[in-house]
Amino acid sequence: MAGNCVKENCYPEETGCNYEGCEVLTECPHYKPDLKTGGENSQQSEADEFFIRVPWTGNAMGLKDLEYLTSMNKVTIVGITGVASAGKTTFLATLYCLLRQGATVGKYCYAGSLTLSGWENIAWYLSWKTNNSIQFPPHTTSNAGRVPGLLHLRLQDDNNEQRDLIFTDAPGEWFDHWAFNEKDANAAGALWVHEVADAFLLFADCDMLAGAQLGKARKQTRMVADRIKRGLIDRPFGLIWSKSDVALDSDTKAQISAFITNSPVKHYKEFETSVREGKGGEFHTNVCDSIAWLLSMIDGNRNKLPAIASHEPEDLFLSKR
Amino acid sequence: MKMDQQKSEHILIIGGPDAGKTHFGGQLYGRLQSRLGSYKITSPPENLTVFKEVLENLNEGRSAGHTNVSANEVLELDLADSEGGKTSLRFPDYGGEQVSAIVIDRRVNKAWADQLKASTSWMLFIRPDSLPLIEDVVNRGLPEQEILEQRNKEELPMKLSASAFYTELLQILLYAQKTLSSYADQPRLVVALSCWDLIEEVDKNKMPAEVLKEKAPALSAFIESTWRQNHVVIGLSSTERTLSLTDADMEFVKRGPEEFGYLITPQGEPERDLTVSIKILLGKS
Repeated sequence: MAGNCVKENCYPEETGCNYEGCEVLTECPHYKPDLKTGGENSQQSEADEFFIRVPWTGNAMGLKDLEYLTSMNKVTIVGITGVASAGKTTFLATLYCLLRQGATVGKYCYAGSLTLSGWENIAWYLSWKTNNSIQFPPHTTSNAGRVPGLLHLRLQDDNNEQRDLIFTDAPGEWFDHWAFNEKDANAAGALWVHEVADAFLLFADCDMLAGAQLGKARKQTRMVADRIKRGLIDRPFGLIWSKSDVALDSDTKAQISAFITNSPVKHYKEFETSVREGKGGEFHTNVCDSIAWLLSMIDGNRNKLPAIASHEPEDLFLSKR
Repeated sequence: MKMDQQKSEHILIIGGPDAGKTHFGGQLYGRLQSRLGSYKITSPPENLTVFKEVLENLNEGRSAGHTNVSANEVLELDLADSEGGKTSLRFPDYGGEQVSAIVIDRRVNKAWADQLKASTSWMLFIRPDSLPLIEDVVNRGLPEQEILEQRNKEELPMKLSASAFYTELLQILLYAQKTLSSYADQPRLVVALSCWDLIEEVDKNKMPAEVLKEKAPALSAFIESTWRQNHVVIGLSSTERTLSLTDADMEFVKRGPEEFGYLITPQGEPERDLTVSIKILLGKS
């Protein structure tokens, strides 16, 4: 029993009646059975109780929330991976800030989101507030959950083709545990991301790699990369040099790059990003470009449409496709 | 063709508190009544109480008060265009807080559901002069780490940006409209940037769509993707000047409310005939 409904998976007050589609909840046979006989609602008229509720909450989604979206559209899941404080949430917040200010992702334009409050929550940190404060998003809390917070983004191109993207916003500790032991109880969420994602971004923290923690950061990045590469097949894998405003010597970069590409990866590319825009805004441009690259690689994996030999533009029946 | 002309068009006015819905309604009614514009009233409506206050106040050179939060009244108007084409309009009036409540409570009540079901055009009122500029890492940058650490650590509760608020509002209304009308055609969308007289001088020479794009880029992108050909943005100044609630503007009284107010067409042309907005709402312009 979930909330006020006897049915599992139904949260009528939040996301509407999931079983009968009732606008007046008290009319639903599954709603609050033990309260029904009390007749406490009898004074209220039907019109007062009638509501169309939307099946999304606006906050970051869980698996249940995903059902509404996946029942209508194919979604592309982008696994955002990397150890704690590598800048994963900040990257997502920057992406949203860019879209909010009118940026595009390759050929795609922003076309809405079912998790607007979720996005605005993380982007809030990177926005100047009335008290003149601004800060980085706090650490994404680690819990024993199996599914990370999911952020939805709808994009659309000139041909009206829509893409529904889901970004996983997972705590970095999951990937830490996962790197050492795939079967670790605390790595279940990381394993889930690896299983379902259509594309990956791995975050290498330039700030850590350039400092005293080089050894630790390099080891972590390599280990998570190795995990991602197992069973990757043709899923694209982007490496994000996060916090690229911090100078990192090319040898360290080359070391990590060489390690990742020491066995073939079908689609692999590196991007330098930062919350600071960099020269000519390149670090910001790369945030959007990395997503555009993932999408184009996914499209490249699609089978080509068979050529139609008998195509005649004058033939009404043939051209109406 | 004849059937088509008599099809009832239903305009749903969508706008938060203080967005200028009531003033527009009153001024539009005045123009329709004067029978000098592109559209005129064929028979006077039975019940004019929706516009009672605004008509009285405007004629006395004062602004109308705030529409009661829970008010839900609909004015029905039978109109004819200059070629005799007939249209019936239903003009709902309500307290703008209801619009905020839809986003906050994430649900649509019976009165709104009925309006959404019948609506063929939506007119969304947004005041560009009250759209705050978002300052974030994209346009203002971040201070150095050391300075960042000394900054005010007091956390302010998150407030949805205007783009996010209106996007969510439209997403919720579209969902409800589709559910209620069994996926009938999406209504046309006219975004009215109201209080156009109050925007900055430099913006007055721009196309209304351009102003929306600059003030709320994400909302503009969302609308362009979701409505494609089926939407326009206009500028609107219903009274042309700011009227006081208490002190009468004698010039306004003398010349009469019909002499004030204009709209900026989607093409950027000023138009004093406010009834042209109906043509735009019907997708005929």
